[in-house]
Amino acid sequence: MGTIYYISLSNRHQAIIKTRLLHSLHIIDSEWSKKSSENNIQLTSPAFLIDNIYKSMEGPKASTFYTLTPEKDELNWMTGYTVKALDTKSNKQLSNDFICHFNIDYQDQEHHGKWNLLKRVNKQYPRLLSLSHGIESINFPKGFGYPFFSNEKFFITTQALNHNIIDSSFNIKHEINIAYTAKKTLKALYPKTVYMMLPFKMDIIDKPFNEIPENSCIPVETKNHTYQNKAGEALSGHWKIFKEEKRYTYDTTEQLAIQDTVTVHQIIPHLHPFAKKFTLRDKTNKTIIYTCDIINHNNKIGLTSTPGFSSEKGITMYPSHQYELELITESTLDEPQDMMASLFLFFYDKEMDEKIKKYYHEN
Amino acid sequence: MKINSTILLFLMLLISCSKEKKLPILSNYIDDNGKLKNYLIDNYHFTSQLGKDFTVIDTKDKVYIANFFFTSCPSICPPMREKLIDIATTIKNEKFILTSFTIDIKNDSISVLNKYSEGTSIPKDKWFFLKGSSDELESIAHKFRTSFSKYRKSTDFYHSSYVVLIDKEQQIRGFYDLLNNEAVILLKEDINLLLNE
Repeated sequence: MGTIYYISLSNRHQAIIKTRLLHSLHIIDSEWSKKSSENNIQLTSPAFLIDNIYKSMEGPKASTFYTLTPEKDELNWMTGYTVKALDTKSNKQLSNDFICHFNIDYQDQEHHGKWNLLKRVNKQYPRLLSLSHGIESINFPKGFGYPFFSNEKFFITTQALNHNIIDSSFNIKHEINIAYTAKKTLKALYPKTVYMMLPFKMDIIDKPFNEIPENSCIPVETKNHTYQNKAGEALSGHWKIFKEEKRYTYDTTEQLAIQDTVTVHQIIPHLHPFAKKFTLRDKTNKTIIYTCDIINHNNKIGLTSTPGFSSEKGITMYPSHQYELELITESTLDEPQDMMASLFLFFYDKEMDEKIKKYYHEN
Repeated sequence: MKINSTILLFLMLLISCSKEKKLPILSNYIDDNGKLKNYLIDNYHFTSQLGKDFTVIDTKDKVYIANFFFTSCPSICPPMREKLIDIATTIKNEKFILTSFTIDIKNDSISVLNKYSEGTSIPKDKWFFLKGSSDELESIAHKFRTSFSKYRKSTDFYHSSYVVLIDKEQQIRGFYDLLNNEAVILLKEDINLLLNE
């Protein structure tokens, strides 16, 4: 009975059950390893069994909370992030093809509450950033960082990926490194996530992946990636693409919710294989803020590179302007493939910066 | 001598273990002048679902969690409620209580809160559903480091899915997202940690 139930589950849910079983019975390493040195936080995930094709969001994953030093209340700055896959036997680095994504979330009330910026609480999902397949390492521009206190709690999630290997099974781990500093000369960055969304009909969400028409939500992720626009229409942050070149656009002005003139200093894309070009455009003055020419693997499924943007000078964005995301995709496969397109933007946080200057003066 | 060394080693281990698990004190904020302000959750006045006053006296020597909700909430409150029922059922220690503050003071009367409370099957001296004036509500929300606002053209509110954990000394010791299973596991561990402090 249990076997029949397990077989009937989606690949993603099978991976969840399998990983939970392997970890709870300690058949594979189930513990996170956490080390911190003077300027680096290193988190190594539990082992993940790679024994199947795992597309985005389907692979084994693990989460943990992390606090640098709970007993201290000192201001630090995160300045860079890297995630890599390791072979559990040799500890040698493996291909980035086994990294779906690594997410780091701040605790909304704790982070904004500390700075008495309560108007920021509940305004956006508290994701600091996500590094994903194609962009596995970033450093903020020189002189910029994300401020955090040493007793502040973060939520870390990392998930495995395997688009290609079907003839062997092996264990991997993810090693996450977060560079940080206590230097008092950095400027604060404020994160904001924007994502492309497409309309779909709610009555088809439970159909199998291959039977639902284009622009439909991937059923397994419906709960977490379905949104409503002002007209009450359902929108999906995940959809499927076919063997053709296709252009998608989405007005992201409301998501950006720019209140004052700001400068963006870092942009990190999050895309799936067969994405070709991703652009953030200022529709008002007809300029391109960011464009990413994506390099897909030649002989297998995967992203070689999805370059980000990093600049000390930054690019100015305005509250009165309209902004648009544009994505061009081109699948080379007969079977439909899943797609998503997000950007993690980091703006200079003037309000926070002024508070931090006063804090340093007093402490 | 050997026994003394063993006892000493055991005590050191015990101290180092408990030191590792110490939760930070988070009832503080940096004011407009850059100064760190510490405070206690000690000055409030609400009415419970039983129509009785609820003040700091009711949380004396108690570890408790606090969240904001409203009884007709269509979005995040139902899954939050399930998690809170689970926590109330799991942690039976009488020194642990739950408090839920309604943000819909117009529609959530004391009798509505009482009926909602009965629907949880949790004893009314374990889980307190609280109503106060808008000033009291705003004040306690600020102390719990949160804010909320009403959706335009809707009955729903923007409000947090977090609970705040408060120790026996009326200090905040943690924030936990009830919609995150890992956070709920951690919350249960931390409640037990504070009960043993």
